[in-house]
Amino acid sequence: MTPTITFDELYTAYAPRIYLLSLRLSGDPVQAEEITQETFIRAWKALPRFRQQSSPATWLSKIAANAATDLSRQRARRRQIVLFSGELSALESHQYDSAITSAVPATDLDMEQAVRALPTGAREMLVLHVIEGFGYGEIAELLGVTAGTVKSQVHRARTLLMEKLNR
Amino acid sequence: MSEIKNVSHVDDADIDEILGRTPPGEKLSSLLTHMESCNDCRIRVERVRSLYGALSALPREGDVPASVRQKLQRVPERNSPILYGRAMRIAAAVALFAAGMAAQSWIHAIRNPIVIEQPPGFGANIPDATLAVQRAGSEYVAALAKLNASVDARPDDRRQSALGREVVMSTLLGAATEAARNTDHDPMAVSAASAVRSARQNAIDSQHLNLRRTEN
Repeated sequence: MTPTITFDELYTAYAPRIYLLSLRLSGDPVQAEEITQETFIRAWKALPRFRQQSSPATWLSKIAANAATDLSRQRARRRQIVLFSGELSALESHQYDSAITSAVPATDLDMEQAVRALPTGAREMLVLHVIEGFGYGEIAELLGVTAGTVKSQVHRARTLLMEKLNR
Repeated sequence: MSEIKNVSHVDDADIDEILGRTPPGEKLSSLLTHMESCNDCRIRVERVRSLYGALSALPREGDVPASVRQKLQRVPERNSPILYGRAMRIAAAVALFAAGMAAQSWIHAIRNPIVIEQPPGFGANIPDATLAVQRAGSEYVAALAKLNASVDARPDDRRQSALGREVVMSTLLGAATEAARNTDHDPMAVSAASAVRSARQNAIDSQHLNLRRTEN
């Protein structure tokens, strides 16, 4: 079936959601931009095959999760040759603060900061499970891990979050 | 682990079940019965429920930096039926065009920034092709810009600039190879990768020759 949605419509409707998801998955505004861009590139390519068995938002979120994983692996390889990781981390932290402050209300900043401080794997799986509403099995399929791994990472994440937030 | 009413205190998996995060199992009713008499477990479950509630209530949409849309600006604005195979063939042709243009520019005008442009007659209604050019071109241009900055900083360091050129050419080769990998059925894309590979080797040979002459 020929798609009838334009790229602009797709982007306008879903980019704000995909960007914030990307920011939460990566914890880094630069990566979030890359993930968002890559998500829409992949979505536009795959649109003719999109059968609307899920909502466009769910479909795009899955693409974003995949893109985040791929880009994270690429970055991990590149990072092996970066010598100034400490300085980069401080810079990224500052950039993240600016990005998240403009994206969410002040009342949510503590929670966002605590989520960002989680270890990468735990953070990704918590975001996908609790905020995005994906089941353990779906996340396992998306990220190429076992459902048991997803469960244990989500449990770890929520324990760390409760400690951090004194909940 | 202590037990109250024949059921152990709830663990993480039990909490998932109680909160409906996993399908209910056989022991759900006994877990619920246990919680009626176990304050610790009730508190534990409520803490997770509260945390999940707060997380679920976080905003789902944020302001997107304008730069994200700008990077995608060549994607068509209008509704366009997509013919995937044709798009990939055109993408391969464009990749070839970009590769040829970039290689020539590198050889003849190393200090001038390369601009990857669409070939004449190529419409803007094939998103794949446009994006292929954007991605292949942007990595190459970035590498070239770094090289130019490096050469400007150390104009006399011929060995370093030769190495930099090789790195830049390798970046271009990577882009062309990627195009060939994505469209391995298309002889044009394969030819593009092959042409860049040859150009790179010629350039390296030439650099080595020049370096030897300089050293002698």
